[in-house]
Amino acid sequence: MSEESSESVESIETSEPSETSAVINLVQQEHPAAILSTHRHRSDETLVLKREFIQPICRLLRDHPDCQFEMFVDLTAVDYLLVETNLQQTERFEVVYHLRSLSKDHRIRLKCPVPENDCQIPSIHLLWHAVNWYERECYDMYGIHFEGHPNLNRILMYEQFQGHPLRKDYPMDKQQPLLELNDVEERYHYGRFE
Amino acid sequence: MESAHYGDFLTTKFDNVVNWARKFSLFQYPFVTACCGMEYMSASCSHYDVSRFGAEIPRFSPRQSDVLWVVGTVTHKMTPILRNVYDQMAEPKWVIAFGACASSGGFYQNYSVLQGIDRVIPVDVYIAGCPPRPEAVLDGLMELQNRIQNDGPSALQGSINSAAINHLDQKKLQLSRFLEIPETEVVENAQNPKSNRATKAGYSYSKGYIDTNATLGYDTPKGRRDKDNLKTG
Repeated sequence: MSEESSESVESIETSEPSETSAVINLVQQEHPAAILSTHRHRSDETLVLKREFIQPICRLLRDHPDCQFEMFVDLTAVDYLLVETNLQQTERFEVVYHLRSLSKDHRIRLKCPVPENDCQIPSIHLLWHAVNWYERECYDMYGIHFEGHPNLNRILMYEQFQGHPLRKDYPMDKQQPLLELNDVEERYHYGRFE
Repeated sequence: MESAHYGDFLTTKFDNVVNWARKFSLFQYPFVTACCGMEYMSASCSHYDVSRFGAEIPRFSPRQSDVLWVVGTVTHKMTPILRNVYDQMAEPKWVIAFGACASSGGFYQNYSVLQGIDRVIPVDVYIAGCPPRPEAVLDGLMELQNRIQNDGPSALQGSINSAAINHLDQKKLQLSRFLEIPETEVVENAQNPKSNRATKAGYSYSKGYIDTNATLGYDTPKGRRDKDNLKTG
């Protein structure tokens, strides 16, 4: 396992050591300072980027004739609060993007670490329209601000809800009811994890 | 229905007639939110046919309906809407909690799901299942009809209904051929105290050890012969 430095790129290729991906090479040429690491396993490619570069790299991936990732698939976030630190993960959150090319038939995954105290990342809603609601969901569930988003409000939870429920420090069972609830006798307590 | 026959006159209690008419002409408001809606649809359609009970037409307005069928998961975001719909219904009105999520929150126990609609509105009949079979739906509807016939709209919701208890005893008798209802409540699974799966394959409530049935799968004479042949051959 080679040590990771900010200038050199650590690349882990598990099954085809002689082949390198054309897409990863292209991104390394255009934005050498942006990539933190890459890895691939049987054409399942991942790029870990710095969050400031997400907009130009996504534009490159969408528009460049070698990439042509015209389809946006998914946007979500991961909370590493309770994870042991041997994953080389330094920041608390990581925003994950999945892109797909229908014409070239390949996929790519982009990951951007986001620190807890400065919880924001540029929005890519201008590149694909679908990103709008995915970023709203990510904000609602994790509290990550997307700079440049036109309408960053809660989309799944109601406005009176306080907190971000998919963070690891939000208690899973904690309910915030909108109405006063009657008392109901509960006889069985299956699966209560505290 | 009690009645006496005096020549050309038939006397009976007025309430009985009115409740009979009410129970066989229920207008439903299907408040469908989730997967239980599929079973509600299949109970309404031709094979299981809820129309033979008179409860055929869904009125999609609370002003025109008698029974509020809460079908599926109700989240906290939906709770004021459910309360609003219930308040807009005119008396007499009844509520059926259809499925596990409406009865108790189902298998969702998290930040967003209301743990049973009886926390906001009074419920008459709970239909258990995830989702309940259409036969269970029809059974629940019949139980509601018994309630309407015996108690009528003036009964306090939540009070003990003697006809319902008799029905429950009869049902237990019928089902005791198929089910074994355990006498003691299983509080802790001896194999794994943290597990909330109270049943695992081969575990028996009353005995407390793994029951190995030596003749399992060899119940017929031919089966037993085959098993013996395996041993010797």
